[in-house]
Amino acid sequence: MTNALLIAFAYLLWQVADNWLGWQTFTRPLVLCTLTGLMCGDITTGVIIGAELEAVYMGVSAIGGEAPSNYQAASVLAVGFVVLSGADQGVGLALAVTVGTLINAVKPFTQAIALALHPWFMKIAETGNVKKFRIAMWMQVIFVSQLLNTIVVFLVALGGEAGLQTFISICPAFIINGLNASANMLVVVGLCLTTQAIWNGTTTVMYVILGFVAVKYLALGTLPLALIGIVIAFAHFQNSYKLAQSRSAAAIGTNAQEGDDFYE
Amino acid sequence: MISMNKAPKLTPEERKMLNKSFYFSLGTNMASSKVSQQSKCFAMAMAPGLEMFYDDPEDRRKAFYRHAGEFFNTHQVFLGLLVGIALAMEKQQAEHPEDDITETISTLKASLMGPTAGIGDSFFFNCYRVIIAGLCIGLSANGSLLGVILFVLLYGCLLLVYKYIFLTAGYRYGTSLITEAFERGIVPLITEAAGILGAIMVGALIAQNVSIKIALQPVIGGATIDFQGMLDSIMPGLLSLLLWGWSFSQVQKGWSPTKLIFMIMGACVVLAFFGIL
Repeated sequence: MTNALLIAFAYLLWQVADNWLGWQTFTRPLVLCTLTGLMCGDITTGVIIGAELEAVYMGVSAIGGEAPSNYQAASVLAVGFVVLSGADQGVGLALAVTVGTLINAVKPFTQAIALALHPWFMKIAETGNVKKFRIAMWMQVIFVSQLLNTIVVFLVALGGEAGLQTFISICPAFIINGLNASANMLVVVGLCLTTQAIWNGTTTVMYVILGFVAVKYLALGTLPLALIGIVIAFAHFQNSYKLAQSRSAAAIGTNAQEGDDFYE
Repeated sequence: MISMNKAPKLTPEERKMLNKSFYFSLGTNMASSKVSQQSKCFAMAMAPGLEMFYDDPEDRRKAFYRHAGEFFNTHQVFLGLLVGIALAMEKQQAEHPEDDITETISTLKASLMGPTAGIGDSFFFNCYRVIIAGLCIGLSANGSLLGVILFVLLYGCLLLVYKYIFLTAGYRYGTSLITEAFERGIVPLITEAAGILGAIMVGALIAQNVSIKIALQPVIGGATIDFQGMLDSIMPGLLSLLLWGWSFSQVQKGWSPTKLIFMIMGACVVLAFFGIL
Protein backbone atom coordinates (compact mmCIF):
# COMPACT_ATOMS: atom_id res chain seq x y z
CA MET A 1 0.00 0.00 0.00
CA THR A 2 2.73 2.47 1.00
CA ASN A 3 4.82 1.39 -1.97
CA ALA A 4 1.92 1.84 -4.37
CA LEU A 5 1.21 5.30 -2.93
CA LEU A 6 4.87 6.19 -3.34
CA ILE A 7 4.85 5.16 -7.01
CA ALA A 8 1.61 7.03 -7.74
CA PHE A 9 2.95 10.10 -5.94
CA ALA A 10 6.21 9.99 -7.91
CA TYR A 11 4.18 9.82 -11.12
CA LEU A 12 1.97 12.79 -10.26
CA LEU A 13 4.72 14.95 -8.76
CA TRP A 14 7.11 14.82 -11.71
CA GLN A 15 4.35 15.05 -14.25
CA VAL A 16 3.07 18.28 -12.69
CA ALA A 17 6.60 19.68 -12.25
CA ASP A 18 7.38 18.91 -15.88
CA ASN A 19 4.18 20.48 -17.18
CA TRP A 20 4.94 23.59 -15.15
CA LEU A 21 8.31 23.97 -16.88
CA GLY A 22 6.96 22.53 -20.15
CA TRP A 23 10.32 21.02 -20.96
CA GLN A 24 9.72 17.24 -21.32
CA THR A 25 12.79 16.46 -19.26
CA PHE A 26 11.55 15.31 -15.84
CA THR A 27 9.19 12.95 -17.65
CA ARG A 28 11.78 11.44 -20.00
CA PRO A 29 12.36 7.84 -18.83
CA LEU A 30 16.07 8.45 -18.16
CA VAL A 31 15.33 11.24 -15.68
CA LEU A 32 11.99 9.99 -14.35
CA CYS A 33 13.33 6.50 -13.54
CA THR A 34 16.30 8.06 -11.74
CA LEU A 35 14.04 10.31 -9.67
CA THR A 36 11.67 7.43 -8.90
CA GLY A 37 14.65 5.23 -8.02
CA LEU A 38 15.83 7.96 -5.64
CA MET A 39 12.40 8.06 -3.99
CA CYS A 40 12.32 4.25 -3.71
CA GLY A 41 15.81 4.08 -2.28
CA ASP A 42 17.74 2.49 -5.16
CA ILE A 43 19.00 5.19 -7.45
CA THR A 44 21.47 2.99 -9.41
CA THR A 45 18.77 0.54 -10.52
CA GLY A 46 16.62 3.54 -11.40
CA VAL A 47 19.35 4.93 -13.68
CA ILE A 48 19.91 1.55 -15.38
CA ILE A 49 16.18 1.04 -16.05
CA GLY A 50 15.93 4.65 -17.18
CA ALA A 51 18.72 4.25 -19.73
CA GLU A 52 17.01 1.19 -21.14
CA LEU A 53 13.51 2.72 -21.28
CA GLU A 54 14.85 5.98 -22.76
CA ALA A 55 16.00 3.96 -25.76
CA VAL A 56 12.67 2.11 -25.97
CA TYR A 57 10.76 5.41 -25.99
CA MET A 58 13.27 7.29 -28.13
CA GLY A 59 10.80 8.37 -30.80
CA VAL A 60 7.84 8.79 -28.50
CA SER A 61 6.93 12.27 -27.35
CA ALA A 62 3.97 13.94 -25.78
CA ILE A 63 3.72 16.52 -28.56
CA GLY A 64 0.17 17.81 -28.34
CA GLY A 65 -0.50 15.14 -25.71
CA GLU A 66 -0.58 12.52 -28.46
CA ALA A 67 1.86 9.90 -27.18
CA PRO A 68 1.06 6.38 -28.44
CA SER A 69 2.18 4.99 -25.12
CA ASN A 70 2.27 6.50 -21.65
CA TYR A 71 6.02 6.23 -21.13
CA GLN A 72 5.83 8.17 -17.88
CA ALA A 73 3.61 5.54 -16.27
CA ALA A 74 5.79 2.78 -17.71
CA SER A 75 8.88 4.45 -16.21
CA VAL A 76 7.62 4.75 -12.63
CA LEU A 77 6.03 1.29 -12.74
CA ALA A 78 9.17 -0.36 -14.12
CA VAL A 79 11.20 1.05 -11.23
CA GLY A 80 8.44 0.07 -8.80
CA PHE A 81 8.28 -3.50 -10.10
CA VAL A 82 12.03 -4.01 -10.00
CA VAL A 83 13.07 -2.06 -6.90
CA LEU A 84 10.04 -2.47 -4.65
CA SER A 85 8.58 -5.80 -5.82
CA GLY A 86 11.91 -7.42 -6.70
CA ALA A 87 11.00 -8.45 -10.24
CA ASP A 88 13.60 -9.50 -12.78
CA GLN A 89 14.63 -6.43 -14.79
CA GLY A 90 13.53 -7.73 -18.18
CA VAL A 91 10.17 -8.88 -16.84
CA GLY A 92 9.64 -5.62 -14.98
CA LEU A 93 10.36 -3.64 -18.14
CA ALA A 94 8.11 -5.76 -20.36
CA LEU A 95 5.20 -5.52 -17.92
CA ALA A 96 5.64 -1.79 -17.40
CA VAL A 97 5.72 -1.19 -21.16
CA THR A 98 2.52 -3.20 -21.50
CA VAL A 99 0.77 -1.21 -18.77
CA GLY A 100 2.07 2.04 -20.31
CA THR A 101 0.32 1.08 -23.53
CA LEU A 102 -2.89 -0.11 -21.89
CA ILE A 103 -3.17 2.98 -19.68
CA ASN A 104 -4.00 4.97 -22.81
CA ALA A 105 -7.47 3.44 -22.51
CA VAL A 106 -8.37 6.17 -19.99
CA LYS A 107 -7.05 8.94 -22.28
CA PRO A 108 -10.37 9.67 -24.02
CA PHE A 109 -11.94 10.36 -20.60
CA THR A 110 -9.18 12.73 -19.55
CA GLN A 111 -9.46 14.52 -22.90
CA ALA A 112 -13.23 14.77 -22.51
CA ILE A 113 -12.80 16.42 -19.09
CA ALA A 114 -10.27 18.88 -20.55
CA LEU A 115 -12.74 19.71 -23.34
CA ALA A 116 -15.53 20.23 -20.83
CA LEU A 117 -13.33 22.67 -18.90
CA HIS A 118 -12.62 24.82 -21.97
CA PRO A 119 -15.78 26.99 -21.78
CA TRP A 120 -15.00 27.67 -18.12
CA PHE A 121 -11.53 28.93 -19.07
CA MET A 122 -12.98 31.13 -21.80
CA LYS A 123 -15.43 32.65 -19.32
CA ILE A 124 -12.54 33.59 -17.02
CA ALA A 125 -10.58 34.96 -19.98
CA GLU A 126 -13.56 37.09 -20.97
CA THR A 127 -13.50 38.84 -17.61
CA GLY A 128 -9.80 39.57 -18.16
CA ASN A 129 -8.87 38.17 -14.76
CA VAL A 130 -5.36 36.93 -15.52
CA LYS A 131 -4.62 35.74 -11.95
CA LYS A 132 -7.75 33.61 -11.79
CA PHE A 133 -6.93 32.23 -15.24
CA ARG A 134 -3.49 31.14 -14.02
CA ILE A 135 -4.98 29.51 -10.90
CA ALA A 136 -7.43 27.64 -13.11
CA MET A 137 -4.50 26.35 -15.16
CA TRP A 138 -2.82 25.10 -11.98
CA MET A 139 -6.06 23.40 -10.90
CA GLN A 140 -6.30 21.56 -14.19
CA VAL A 141 -2.68 20.40 -14.24
CA ILE A 142 -2.70 19.18 -10.62
CA PHE A 143 -6.18 17.74 -10.22
CA VAL A 144 -7.54 16.97 -13.68
CA SER A 145 -4.90 16.20 -16.33
CA GLN A 146 -3.27 13.30 -14.51
CA LEU A 147 -6.05 12.23 -12.13
CA LEU A 148 -7.20 9.10 -13.94
CA ASN A 149 -3.67 8.10 -14.94
CA THR A 150 -2.46 8.46 -11.35
CA ILE A 151 -5.31 6.28 -10.09
CA VAL A 152 -4.49 3.57 -12.65
CA VAL A 153 -0.78 3.73 -11.79
CA PHE A 154 -1.68 3.38 -8.10
CA LEU A 155 -3.96 0.39 -8.73
CA VAL A 156 -1.41 -1.35 -10.96
CA ALA A 157 1.36 -0.75 -8.43
CA LEU A 158 -0.93 -2.00 -5.65
CA GLY A 159 -1.91 -5.15 -7.51
CA GLY A 160 1.63 -5.47 -8.80
CA GLU A 161 3.21 -6.11 -5.41
CA ALA A 162 1.24 -9.28 -4.74
CA GLY A 163 0.24 -10.07 -8.30
CA LEU A 164 3.76 -9.91 -9.65
CA GLN A 165 5.05 -12.44 -7.13
CA THR A 166 2.27 -14.89 -7.97
CA PHE A 167 2.79 -14.31 -11.67
CA ILE A 168 6.51 -15.00 -11.46
CA SER A 169 6.08 -18.13 -9.35
CA ILE A 170 3.50 -19.77 -11.61
CA CYS A 171 4.84 -18.47 -14.90
CA PRO A 172 6.67 -20.96 -17.15
CA ALA A 173 10.36 -20.17 -17.70
CA PHE A 174 9.97 -19.63 -21.44
CA ILE A 175 7.65 -16.66 -20.91
CA ILE A 176 10.21 -15.02 -18.62
CA ASN A 177 12.96 -15.76 -21.17
CA GLY A 178 10.85 -14.42 -24.01
CA LEU A 179 9.99 -11.22 -22.15
CA ASN A 180 13.62 -10.75 -21.19
CA ALA A 181 14.68 -11.18 -24.83
CA SER A 182 11.96 -8.79 -26.03
CA ALA A 183 13.18 -6.07 -23.64
CA ASN A 184 16.32 -5.85 -25.79
CA MET A 185 14.29 -5.61 -28.99
CA LEU A 186 11.55 -3.16 -28.03
CA VAL A 187 14.11 -0.37 -28.41
CA VAL A 188 13.58 -0.77 -32.12
CA VAL A 189 9.98 0.49 -31.87
CA GLY A 190 11.04 3.90 -30.59
CA LEU A 191 13.79 4.10 -33.20
CA CYS A 192 11.28 3.31 -35.95
CA LEU A 193 9.15 6.28 -34.91
CA THR A 194 12.21 8.52 -35.03
CA THR A 195 13.05 7.09 -38.45
CA GLN A 196 9.55 7.85 -39.65
CA ALA A 197 9.84 11.46 -38.49
CA ILE A 198 13.09 12.03 -40.38
CA TRP A 199 12.29 9.69 -43.31
CA ASN A 200 13.84 10.81 -46.59
CA GLY A 201 13.90 7.59 -48.59
CA THR A 202 17.11 5.70 -49.28
CA THR A 203 19.22 8.59 -47.96
CA THR A 204 17.96 7.84 -44.46
CA VAL A 205 18.73 4.11 -44.81
CA MET A 206 22.28 4.89 -45.95
CA TYR A 207 22.99 7.18 -43.01
CA VAL A 208 21.47 4.69 -40.56
CA ILE A 209 23.89 2.08 -41.92
CA LEU A 210 26.76 4.56 -41.55
CA GLY A 211 25.90 5.16 -37.89
CA PHE A 212 25.48 1.43 -37.26
CA VAL A 213 28.80 0.51 -38.83
CA ALA A 214 30.66 3.33 -37.09
CA VAL A 215 29.55 2.10 -33.67
CA LYS A 216 29.48 -1.65 -34.20
CA TYR A 217 32.67 -2.14 -36.23
CA LEU A 218 34.74 1.00 -35.74
CA ALA A 219 33.77 1.10 -32.03
CA LEU A 220 33.24 4.84 -32.27
CA GLY A 221 31.70 6.57 -29.25
CA THR A 222 28.46 8.55 -29.54
CA LEU A 223 30.09 11.96 -29.17
CA PRO A 224 32.77 11.54 -31.88
CA LEU A 225 30.12 10.06 -34.16
CA ALA A 226 27.78 12.99 -33.48
CA LEU A 227 30.59 15.40 -34.39
CA ILE A 228 31.26 13.56 -37.64
CA GLY A 229 27.50 13.65 -38.26
CA ILE A 230 27.45 17.41 -37.73
CA VAL A 231 30.23 17.82 -40.31
CA ILE A 232 28.31 15.69 -42.84
CA ALA A 233 25.03 17.51 -42.16
CA PHE A 234 26.78 20.90 -42.48
CA ALA A 235 28.44 19.93 -45.76
CA HIS A 236 25.08 18.70 -47.05
CA PHE A 237 23.35 21.92 -45.99
CA GLN A 238 26.01 24.08 -47.63
CA ASN A 239 25.86 22.14 -50.90
CA SER A 240 22.10 22.22 -51.18
CA TYR A 241 22.06 25.90 -50.18
CA LYS A 242 24.51 26.73 -52.98
CA LEU A 243 22.50 24.60 -55.39
CA ALA A 244 19.27 26.37 -54.43
CA GLN A 245 20.97 29.74 -54.83
CA SER A 246 22.38 28.99 -58.28
CA ARG A 247 18.98 27.59 -59.28
CA SER A 248 17.13 30.72 -58.25
CA ALA A 249 19.84 32.83 -59.93
CA ALA A 250 19.38 30.80 -63.13
CA ALA A 251 15.60 31.21 -62.87
CA ILE A 252 15.99 34.98 -62.56
CA GLY A 253 18.37 34.93 -65.55
CA THR A 254 15.88 33.17 -67.85
CA ASN A 255 13.06 35.42 -66.68
CA ALA A 256 15.11 38.49 -67.54
CA GLN A 257 15.86 37.07 -70.97
CA GLU A 258 12.24 36.32 -71.63
CA GLY A 259 11.44 39.84 -70.60
CA ASP A 260 13.96 41.17 -73.11
CA ASP A 261 12.47 39.10 -75.90
CA PHE A 262 9.05 40.44 -75.08
CA TYR A 263 10.10 44.04 -75.36
CA GLU A 264 12.19 43.59 -78.47
CA MET B 1 22.73 35.25 -42.60
CA ILE B 2 19.92 37.40 -41.25
CA SER B 3 20.42 41.12 -40.93
CA MET B 4 20.77 42.03 -37.28
CA ASN B 5 20.95 45.80 -37.65
CA LYS B 6 18.34 48.27 -36.47
CA ALA B 7 17.58 46.20 -33.38
CA PRO B 8 16.24 48.51 -30.68
CA LYS B 9 17.79 48.17 -27.23
CA LEU B 10 15.50 46.83 -24.52
CA THR B 11 14.53 49.17 -21.69
CA PRO B 12 14.72 47.75 -18.13
CA GLU B 13 10.90 47.68 -18.00
CA GLU B 14 10.77 45.73 -21.24
CA ARG B 15 13.40 43.30 -19.95
CA LYS B 16 11.32 42.76 -16.81
CA MET B 17 8.16 42.25 -18.86
CA LEU B 18 9.94 39.73 -21.12
CA ASN B 19 11.21 37.81 -18.07
CA LYS B 20 7.67 37.48 -16.75
CA SER B 21 6.39 36.53 -20.18
CA PHE B 22 9.12 33.88 -20.42
CA TYR B 23 8.06 32.36 -17.09
CA PHE B 24 4.45 32.04 -18.26
CA SER B 25 5.50 30.77 -21.67
CA LEU B 26 6.97 27.67 -20.02
CA GLY B 27 3.64 26.04 -19.24
CA THR B 28 2.91 24.79 -22.77
CA ASN B 29 1.50 21.54 -21.42
CA MET B 30 -0.42 23.13 -18.55
CA ALA B 31 -4.13 22.94 -19.16
CA SER B 32 -3.99 22.19 -22.85
CA SER B 33 -7.05 20.69 -24.48
CA LYS B 34 -7.97 19.47 -27.94
CA VAL B 35 -9.96 22.64 -28.61
CA SER B 36 -7.16 25.17 -28.58
CA GLN B 37 -4.00 23.24 -27.49
CA GLN B 38 -1.47 25.73 -26.12
CA SER B 39 -3.67 28.84 -26.36
CA LYS B 40 -3.95 29.23 -22.58
CA CYS B 41 -0.18 29.23 -22.19
CA PHE B 42 0.12 31.69 -25.08
CA ALA B 43 -2.42 34.06 -23.54
CA MET B 44 -0.62 33.92 -20.16
CA ALA B 45 2.70 34.68 -21.86
CA MET B 46 1.09 37.69 -23.56
CA ALA B 47 -0.46 39.01 -20.33
CA PRO B 48 2.63 40.87 -18.96
CA GLY B 49 3.04 42.65 -22.29
CA LEU B 50 -0.64 43.55 -22.60
CA GLU B 51 -0.48 44.97 -19.07
CA MET B 52 2.42 47.19 -20.13
CA PHE B 53 1.21 48.32 -23.58
CA TYR B 54 -2.50 48.94 -23.09
CA ASP B 55 -3.64 51.73 -20.79
CA ASP B 56 -7.33 50.91 -21.13
CA PRO B 57 -8.28 47.74 -19.16
CA GLU B 58 -11.00 47.07 -21.74
CA ASP B 59 -8.41 46.82 -24.56
CA ARG B 60 -6.26 44.62 -22.36
CA ARG B 61 -9.18 42.30 -21.61
CA LYS B 62 -10.11 42.03 -25.27
CA ALA B 63 -6.55 41.19 -26.33
CA PHE B 64 -6.18 38.55 -23.58
CA TYR B 65 -9.49 36.96 -24.53
CA ARG B 66 -8.44 36.94 -28.18
CA HIS B 67 -5.19 35.07 -27.45
CA ALA B 68 -6.84 32.67 -24.97
CA GLY B 69 -9.35 31.50 -27.56
CA GLU B 70 -7.17 31.15 -30.65
CA PHE B 71 -5.98 27.63 -31.40
CA PHE B 72 -2.23 27.49 -31.04
CA ASN B 73 0.21 24.60 -31.25
CA THR B 74 3.92 24.57 -31.99
CA HIS B 75 7.23 23.39 -30.57
CA GLN B 76 7.91 24.85 -27.13
CA VAL B 77 11.11 26.66 -28.15
CA PHE B 78 9.39 28.29 -31.11
CA LEU B 79 6.46 29.23 -28.91
CA GLY B 80 8.96 31.63 -27.32
CA LEU B 81 9.79 33.15 -30.71
CA LEU B 82 6.14 33.59 -31.68
CA VAL B 83 5.26 35.06 -28.27
CA GLY B 84 8.09 37.57 -28.78
CA ILE B 85 6.85 38.50 -32.26
CA ALA B 86 3.23 38.76 -31.07
CA LEU B 87 4.34 41.00 -28.19
CA ALA B 88 6.12 43.32 -30.62
CA MET B 89 2.98 43.48 -32.73
CA GLU B 90 0.67 44.07 -29.77
CA LYS B 91 2.91 46.97 -28.80
CA GLN B 92 2.44 48.44 -32.25
CA GLN B 93 -1.31 47.86 -32.02
CA ALA B 94 -1.46 49.65 -28.66
CA GLU B 95 0.56 52.58 -29.99
CA HIS B 96 -1.32 52.87 -33.28
CA PRO B 97 -4.84 51.51 -32.68
CA GLU B 98 -6.04 53.31 -35.83
CA ASP B 99 -4.13 50.82 -38.06
CA ASP B 100 -5.82 47.84 -36.34
CA ILE B 101 -3.41 44.97 -36.95
CA THR B 102 -5.20 42.50 -34.61
CA GLU B 103 -6.18 40.37 -37.59
CA THR B 104 -2.57 40.37 -38.82
CA ILE B 105 -1.45 39.12 -35.39
CA SER B 106 -3.90 36.22 -35.56
CA THR B 107 -2.98 35.36 -39.15
CA LEU B 108 0.73 35.49 -38.39
CA LYS B 109 0.31 33.14 -35.40
CA ALA B 110 -1.79 30.73 -37.45
CA SER B 111 0.56 30.74 -40.44
CA LEU B 112 3.79 30.41 -38.47
CA MET B 113 2.85 27.76 -35.92
CA GLY B 114 2.80 24.93 -38.48
CA PRO B 115 6.23 25.49 -40.09
CA THR B 116 7.88 26.35 -36.76
CA ALA B 117 6.43 23.20 -35.19
CA GLY B 118 7.95 21.30 -38.12
CA ILE B 119 11.42 22.78 -37.65
CA GLY B 120 11.21 22.48 -33.86
CA ASP B 121 10.27 18.82 -33.95
CA SER B 122 12.74 17.88 -36.66
CA PHE B 123 15.62 19.75 -35.08
CA PHE B 124 15.11 19.75 -31.30
CA PHE B 125 13.17 16.53 -30.96
CA ASN B 126 14.44 14.23 -33.70
CA CYS B 127 18.01 15.43 -33.99
CA TYR B 128 19.21 17.36 -30.94
CA ARG B 129 17.45 15.16 -28.38
CA VAL B 130 18.38 11.92 -30.14
CA ILE B 131 22.06 12.89 -29.99
CA ILE B 132 21.94 13.94 -26.33
CA ALA B 133 19.86 10.90 -25.33
CA GLY B 134 22.13 8.57 -27.29
CA LEU B 135 25.15 9.99 -25.50
CA CYS B 136 23.50 9.83 -22.07
CA ILE B 137 22.04 6.33 -22.49
CA GLY B 138 25.58 5.12 -23.13
CA LEU B 139 26.92 6.92 -20.07
CA SER B 140 24.14 5.69 -17.78
CA ALA B 141 23.79 2.10 -18.97
CA ASN B 142 25.87 0.93 -16.01
CA GLY B 143 23.96 3.07 -13.50
CA SER B 144 26.13 6.17 -13.61
CA LEU B 145 24.37 9.42 -12.70
CA LEU B 146 26.57 11.34 -15.13
CA GLY B 147 24.31 10.58 -18.10
CA VAL B 148 21.19 11.71 -16.25
CA ILE B 149 22.75 14.99 -15.12
CA LEU B 150 24.11 15.70 -18.60
CA PHE B 151 20.69 15.01 -20.10
CA VAL B 152 18.99 17.49 -17.77
CA LEU B 153 21.66 20.14 -18.42
CA LEU B 154 22.16 19.68 -22.17
CA TYR B 155 18.57 18.95 -23.11
CA GLY B 156 16.19 20.42 -20.53
CA CYS B 157 18.16 23.44 -19.37
CA LEU B 158 19.54 24.41 -22.78
CA LEU B 159 16.04 24.23 -24.29
CA LEU B 160 14.96 26.84 -21.76
CA VAL B 161 17.97 29.00 -22.68
CA TYR B 162 17.12 28.72 -26.39
CA LYS B 163 13.52 29.60 -25.64
CA TYR B 164 14.55 32.72 -23.72
CA ILE B 165 16.88 33.82 -26.53
CA PHE B 166 14.13 33.18 -29.10
CA LEU B 167 11.55 35.10 -27.09
CA THR B 168 13.71 38.20 -26.68
CA ALA B 169 14.92 37.98 -30.29
CA GLY B 170 11.32 37.68 -31.50
CA TYR B 171 10.39 40.79 -29.56
CA ARG B 172 13.39 42.81 -30.71
CA TYR B 173 13.43 41.91 -34.40
CA GLY B 174 9.70 41.48 -34.74
CA THR B 175 8.48 39.89 -37.91
CA SER B 176 11.50 40.65 -40.09
CA LEU B 177 13.49 37.79 -38.53
CA ILE B 178 11.21 34.94 -39.49
CA THR B 179 9.99 36.24 -42.85
CA GLU B 180 13.60 36.60 -43.96
CA ALA B 181 14.46 33.02 -43.00
CA PHE B 182 11.43 31.73 -44.90
CA GLU B 183 11.98 33.94 -47.93
CA ARG B 184 15.51 32.65 -48.32
CA GLY B 185 14.09 29.13 -48.48
CA ILE B 186 16.63 27.70 -46.02
CA VAL B 187 14.05 26.06 -43.77
CA PRO B 188 13.59 22.82 -45.79
CA LEU B 189 17.37 22.61 -46.18
CA ILE B 190 17.88 22.79 -42.40
CA THR B 191 15.23 20.11 -41.90
CA GLU B 192 16.97 17.85 -44.41
CA ALA B 193 20.42 18.33 -42.84
CA ALA B 194 19.00 17.67 -39.37
CA GLY B 195 17.45 14.48 -40.74
CA ILE B 196 20.87 13.20 -41.83
CA LEU B 197 22.30 13.71 -38.36
CA GLY B 198 19.24 12.02 -36.88
CA ALA B 199 19.61 9.01 -39.18
CA ILE B 200 23.27 8.52 -38.19
CA MET B 201 22.27 8.57 -34.52
CA VAL B 202 19.46 6.06 -35.16
CA GLY B 203 22.05 3.72 -36.66
CA ALA B 204 24.32 4.19 -33.64
CA LEU B 205 21.46 3.48 -31.23
CA ILE B 206 20.51 0.30 -33.08
CA ALA B 207 24.11 -0.86 -32.75
CA GLN B 208 24.24 -0.04 -29.04
CA ASN B 209 20.83 -1.02 -27.77
CA VAL B 210 19.15 -3.62 -29.93
CA SER B 211 20.39 -7.12 -29.34
CA ILE B 212 19.07 -10.46 -30.50
CA LYS B 213 20.79 -13.63 -29.37
CA ILE B 214 19.83 -17.00 -30.79
CA ALA B 215 20.13 -19.63 -28.12
CA LEU B 216 19.32 -22.56 -30.42
CA GLN B 217 22.32 -24.87 -30.84
CA PRO B 218 21.04 -28.11 -32.27
CA VAL B 219 23.33 -31.13 -32.36
CA ILE B 220 23.07 -32.77 -35.75
CA GLY B 221 25.18 -35.85 -36.45
CA GLY B 222 27.41 -35.13 -33.45
CA ALA B 223 28.25 -31.60 -34.59
CA THR B 224 26.85 -28.59 -32.72
CA ILE B 225 25.42 -25.96 -35.02
CA ASP B 226 25.96 -22.54 -33.47
CA PHE B 227 23.54 -20.24 -35.32
CA GLN B 228 24.60 -17.10 -33.47
CA GLY B 229 28.26 -17.80 -34.21
CA MET B 230 27.46 -18.33 -37.90
CA LEU B 231 25.54 -15.07 -38.11
CA ASP B 232 28.31 -13.23 -36.29
CA SER B 233 30.86 -14.52 -38.78
CA ILE B 234 28.76 -13.04 -41.60
CA MET B 235 27.97 -9.73 -39.93
CA PRO B 236 27.63 -9.04 -36.21
CA GLY B 237 24.36 -7.32 -35.40
CA LEU B 238 22.81 -8.32 -38.72
CA LEU B 239 19.59 -9.39 -36.99
CA SER B 240 19.29 -6.02 -35.21
CA LEU B 241 19.42 -4.16 -38.52
CA LEU B 242 16.94 -6.58 -40.09
CA LEU B 243 14.57 -6.17 -37.14
CA TRP B 244 14.75 -2.40 -37.57
CA GLY B 245 14.11 -2.68 -41.31
CA TRP B 246 11.14 -4.97 -40.82
CA SER B 247 9.62 -2.93 -37.98
CA PHE B 248 9.99 0.29 -39.94
CA SER B 249 8.30 -1.16 -43.01
CA GLN B 250 5.39 -2.19 -40.77
CA VAL B 251 5.21 1.30 -39.26
CA GLN B 252 5.16 2.74 -42.80
CA LYS B 253 2.30 0.37 -43.61
CA GLY B 254 0.37 1.98 -40.78
CA TRP B 255 1.02 -0.36 -37.84
CA SER B 256 0.64 1.45 -34.55
CA PRO B 257 3.60 1.35 -32.12
CA THR B 258 1.32 -0.49 -29.70
CA LYS B 259 0.69 -3.26 -32.20
CA LEU B 260 4.40 -3.47 -32.96
CA ILE B 261 5.30 -3.74 -29.27
CA PHE B 262 2.82 -6.58 -28.71
CA MET B 263 3.88 -8.38 -31.89
CA ILE B 264 7.55 -8.31 -30.84
CA MET B 265 6.72 -9.45 -27.31
CA GLY B 266 4.45 -12.21 -28.56
CA ALA B 267 6.99 -13.40 -31.12
CA CYS B 268 9.71 -13.47 -28.45
CA VAL B 269 7.62 -15.60 -26.11
CA VAL B 270 6.72 -18.01 -28.93
CA LEU B 271 10.37 -18.25 -30.05
CA ALA B 272 11.46 -18.77 -26.45
CA PHE B 273 8.92 -21.59 -26.16
CA PHE B 274 10.67 -23.39 -29.00
CA GLY B 275 14.04 -22.64 -27.42
CA ILE B 276 15.17 -20.43 -30.27
CA LEU B 277 15.74 -17.30 -28.17
